[in-house]
Amino acid sequence: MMAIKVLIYEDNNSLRTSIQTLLQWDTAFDVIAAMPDAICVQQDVETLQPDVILMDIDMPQSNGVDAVKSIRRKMLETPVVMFTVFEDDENIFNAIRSGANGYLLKKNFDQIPAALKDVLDGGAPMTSSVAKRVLNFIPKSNTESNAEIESLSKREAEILEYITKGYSYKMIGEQLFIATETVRTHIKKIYKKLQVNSATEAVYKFTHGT
Amino acid sequence: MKNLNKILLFVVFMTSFSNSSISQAVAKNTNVTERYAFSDKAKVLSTHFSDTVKDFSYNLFKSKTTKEKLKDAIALDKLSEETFKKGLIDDAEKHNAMLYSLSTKLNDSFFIISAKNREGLIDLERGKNKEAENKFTEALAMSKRFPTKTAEINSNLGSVFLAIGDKDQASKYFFKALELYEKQNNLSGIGEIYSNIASVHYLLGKVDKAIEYQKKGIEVRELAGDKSGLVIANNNLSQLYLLKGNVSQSLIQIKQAVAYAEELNNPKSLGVAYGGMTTYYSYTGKFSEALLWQKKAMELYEKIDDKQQLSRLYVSAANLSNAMKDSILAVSYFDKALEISKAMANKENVGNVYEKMSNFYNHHNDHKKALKLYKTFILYKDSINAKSNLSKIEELQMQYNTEKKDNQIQSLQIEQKIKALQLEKQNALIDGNELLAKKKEAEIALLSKESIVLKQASELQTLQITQQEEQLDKQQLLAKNVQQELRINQNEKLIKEKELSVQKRVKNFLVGGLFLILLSSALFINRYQLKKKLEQQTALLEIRNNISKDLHDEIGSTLTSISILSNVSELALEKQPTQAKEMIHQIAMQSKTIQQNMSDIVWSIRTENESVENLTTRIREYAAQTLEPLNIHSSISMDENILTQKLPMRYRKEILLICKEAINNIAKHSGANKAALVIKKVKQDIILSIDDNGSWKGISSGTGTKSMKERAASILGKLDISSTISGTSINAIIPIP
Repeated sequence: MMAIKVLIYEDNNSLRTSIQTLLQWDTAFDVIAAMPDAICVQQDVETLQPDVILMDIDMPQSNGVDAVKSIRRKMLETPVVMFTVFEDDENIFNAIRSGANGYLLKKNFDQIPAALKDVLDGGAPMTSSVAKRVLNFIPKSNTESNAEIESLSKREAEILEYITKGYSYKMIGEQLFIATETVRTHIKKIYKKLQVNSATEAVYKFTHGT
Repeated sequence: MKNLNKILLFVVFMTSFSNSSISQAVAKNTNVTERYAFSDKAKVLSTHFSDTVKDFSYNLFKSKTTKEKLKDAIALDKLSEETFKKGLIDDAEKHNAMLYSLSTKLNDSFFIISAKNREGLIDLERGKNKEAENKFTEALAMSKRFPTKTAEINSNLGSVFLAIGDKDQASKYFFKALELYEKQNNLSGIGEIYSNIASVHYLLGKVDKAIEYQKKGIEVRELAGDKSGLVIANNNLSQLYLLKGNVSQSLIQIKQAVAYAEELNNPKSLGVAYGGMTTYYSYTGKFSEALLWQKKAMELYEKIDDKQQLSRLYVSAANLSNAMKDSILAVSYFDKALEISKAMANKENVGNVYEKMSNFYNHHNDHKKALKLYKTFILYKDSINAKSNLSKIEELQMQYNTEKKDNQIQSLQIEQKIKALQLEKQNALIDGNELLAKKKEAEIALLSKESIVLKQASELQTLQITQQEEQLDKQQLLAKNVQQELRINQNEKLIKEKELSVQKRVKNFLVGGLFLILLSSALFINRYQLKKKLEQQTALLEIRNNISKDLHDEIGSTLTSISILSNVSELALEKQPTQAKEMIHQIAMQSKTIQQNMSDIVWSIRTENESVENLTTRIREYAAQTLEPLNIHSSISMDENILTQKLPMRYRKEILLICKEAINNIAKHSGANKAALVIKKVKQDIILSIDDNGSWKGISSGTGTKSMKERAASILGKLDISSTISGTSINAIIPIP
């Protein structure tokens, strides 16, 4: 099996080196570069062609969320996992809206390898604070329908409600009598809707000048 | 020392004698001196150099006896010296580090000094002058017993001071070194010092003196046959002659330098000589010749992959191409410079490239691009002299604005032309000349297109500039934020001063006796307000104290423990690897704990987490994370009537930590497969109960249960642990404040 090519953005020098070391010990990964900022992210991604990107959010001079935006603007589909200190960081939510495929808290650094693999397999994490924002952002299906905006299905809303209360995917599965895998599928769909709606919103704002 | 000299002599003998090929040597290398012999030989055959080094370092760990290890030290010392001379700084550093650890183990002060001295040289090469100075000073302090080393280190210290421009200190050390070298009759040493003293004279502006010393140095070095020294001295002399305007003599010297360098075929010397050639030709205005030599130097550094040098050379090659009016070439060199600086992740270099690129575009009247690049340069430059940069930006902005106006004028002119053409077209139509009308129509179409393109371009430019400005604004905002904080602090101070003065006044009134009743009642009101304010401040202070206590107690002590463990494990690594492993495991565990604590403290500080509902969410997430992987089923529930109950910071933190401790105990000690946590509100108390079906009976490692009880007590609550055959339950009653 080919090693997964990872590109890292992290401005803290010691943390960057440590992550690099961590992944270098794992034969499943090949760290192709570790950058202290994301100023030239488009160029980096085009020349280095990574399989997956680990992206710090708060970097001086270049913000991880903007970096994700500029990658997606170039129509590059490389999966991006955000890496941040605070879970209730509004930036996580904004990053997902801009096209990030997952996120990981710095305190859970030992899950970096798992998170990178997860995102390549199409898995998507969701914690209570982000779920709250999603619920406020995407309308539920019973409200007036708008062709351009994707709304949450009843099930999806239900799942998000549980997540806001701290339930794990497994716990939710037990509550709703569905498989954990099914919960995961729903979350993936929510991610998609979030991105689609954010894009629509952006287009709407652009064409209507609000 | 005698012994050492013998070995060295033998080594030199072997070097000149040994004819075996590298592969043969590798095949049978069991003897260190032999190994060293071929490694020394390898310096000539630079292509196989790295392989040789690899084999060598592999064999190093096989030496068992002290005698063999000492031989290894000799070889390592020589190897790092050679690699350093060749300009392979990273390799030199590696070998030197090996030498250092080996020689500390052998407790051999000669090699310790040698390694320290070389560390200094490596720092000096990398521009870390302060570090270099420290290392040389350390080495010098130890070197009394070895006069050859003392001289060398004195000379190196002089070079450090030369690098930071302290001429007095520099010449002090150089003359000390000169005295020692003369005593030892060390010709190449003397030559080096002459060259250095020449540099001091040059720095003092005395070019003639500098030339004189440089010549003296060359003379001595020729006697000593020190070719790499001769390259440097001739190069320096050539540049001194350039300064004097003696171009022909300058050329003679630099050619001499190139000849020596080519004879040596050593990248560092070649680099110096080629650099001198480039300087000579650009000084005399022959840029294409200069670029030719520059290219040679670049090829050289590309071969040894010296990115630091390359990034510098690419920039100067770009400037040379620009001087030759070859903009395309210049841009391509700039791109190369940018690429390599980014690959090195060296912000200073990247910033430097952007700055030079900005200058270039400014020179070519592309002010928009210049401005953009200049702003990028600023972003890269961390510590900036804000004022001068702003004025530079303003200047560029002005130039850009005029450019934009020019654009507008141009598009206006085009519009007028279009109008005129339309008129002509109508006239033609009236005249019945369809062909002419069609021609005019086509011209109009073309011009309108041009006008649109022009407008779009200008819009795009404005857009880009705004984007950049936003970034700059962000930085300024950050700075403002700091200012505001300062102002707040100042206000606080003012308030305190006011309070103090009011208190003083109160005292004065009391001392002055009973004055007007009116006044005293007014005073009473004032005091009442003051008291309230003081109370608020005390409350705030308490919160602050709590936070700092938490940080200090939990995080401070764990960090101390981690650094102790790191130190001890470093010592234990060799002798007691199992213990070291255990210590490292401890370090990992403790840092993880710190992580969690930090996160909990931050969580409890945030006011949006005041409600019990948020507390349960966090507990549930923690339970799922901890218990699910162990297949322990957990359920967390709470009363509806407590959902919106708000709790002060202390309370939510302590309750959270009690629950986390309980969950941890269940995970580690209970052997349960089910756990239930319930939070209820009964009258004015919070009732917390955590039950499991395990067999641990509340007996954990000891501190765990104790700390749960202490935490409950610290928020005026009570915690009990009881157990039956069917499991254990923890119950806590905490009065709501």
